[in-house]
Amino acid sequence: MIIHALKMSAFILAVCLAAGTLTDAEFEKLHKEIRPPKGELWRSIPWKISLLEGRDAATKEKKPMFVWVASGEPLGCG
Amino acid sequence: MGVAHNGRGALKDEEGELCRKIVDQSRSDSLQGLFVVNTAGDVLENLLEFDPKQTKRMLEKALREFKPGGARKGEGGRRDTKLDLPEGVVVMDVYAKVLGGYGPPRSKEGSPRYELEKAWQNGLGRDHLWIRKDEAEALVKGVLPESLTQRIVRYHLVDNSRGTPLWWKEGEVRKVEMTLSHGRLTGVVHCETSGGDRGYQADLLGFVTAKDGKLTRVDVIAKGEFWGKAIYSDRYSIEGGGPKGKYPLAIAISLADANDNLYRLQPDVLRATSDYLR
Repeated sequence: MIIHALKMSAFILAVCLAAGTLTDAEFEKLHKEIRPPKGELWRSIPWKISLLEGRDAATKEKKPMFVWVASGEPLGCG
Repeated sequence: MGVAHNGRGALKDEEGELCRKIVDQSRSDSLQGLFVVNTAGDVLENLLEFDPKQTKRMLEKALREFKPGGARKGEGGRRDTKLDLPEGVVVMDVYAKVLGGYGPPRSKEGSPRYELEKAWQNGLGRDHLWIRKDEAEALVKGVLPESLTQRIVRYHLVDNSRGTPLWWKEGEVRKVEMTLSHGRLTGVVHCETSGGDRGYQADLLGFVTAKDGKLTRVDVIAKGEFWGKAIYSDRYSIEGGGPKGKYPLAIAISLADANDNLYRLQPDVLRATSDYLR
């Protein structure tokens, strides 16, 4: 009986380890923590993702283009 | 007019030509940095660093001295579409955050450098993940396609909070177990280079729901230990360098807002591989 219980415990432990150990509570906490704050100032700029689209809009508005380029992702730190 | 830009200098069309024209005038011989450009593609100002005061001065000067003219209308021609958002693709936001492991900021408290150092240490890595139409349809039916699993692991479970990330090669994915059952995604991942100098071991938990044949929620969190360096990943945390040894890294993946003006911005890795959507 004891051996059977131990085997079952080991089986349950193995299933838990295989499935990952993140809990729902950790998920909720991280889900809130790992996202940008609302209303970031740089997001208020009406960014284009194409230079040609930017050039067309700049021509229309008679303004220069401000181009921001990162070697990584312009959405992030770069 | 602001243009956020990534990897378009390699495009073989008018967009690529304009990029290369700007690069030829750049102070760094690359397209990295901040530029003020007129509609003819002439660089009026160029900053390599992202210093707020210098950026403000640059923009004010450019607006003061800018004279409209020299506009060049697009000449059309064949567009290179390799960075375009494909039809039916579902876009996800991906955020990465280092949860600890940095030493205290080394700069003098209250100085701009101190604030910058703190900002780097607390910054988010951001990227987009693309889910193919057929993969999205499979998710709606409660099936997690292997192609999507591999894409998530190889190209998005990386520390891109600073510098330029290095993505995982096929052989560096040592273990992946991801299961989607009744809308609940669970998993474990172990990626590591052959020399062991860079790796990530993480657990995953997520939730997938759908209604009327469309995904209404896809939220996945990966949390584990990351180690090793990417390109420039030490340089950007100022005095202290990157976190030392193994450090906690969490990554969040969620459905992106289709109304976001940066929604169509491609995943970072797309500039480096043509196999992304395979």
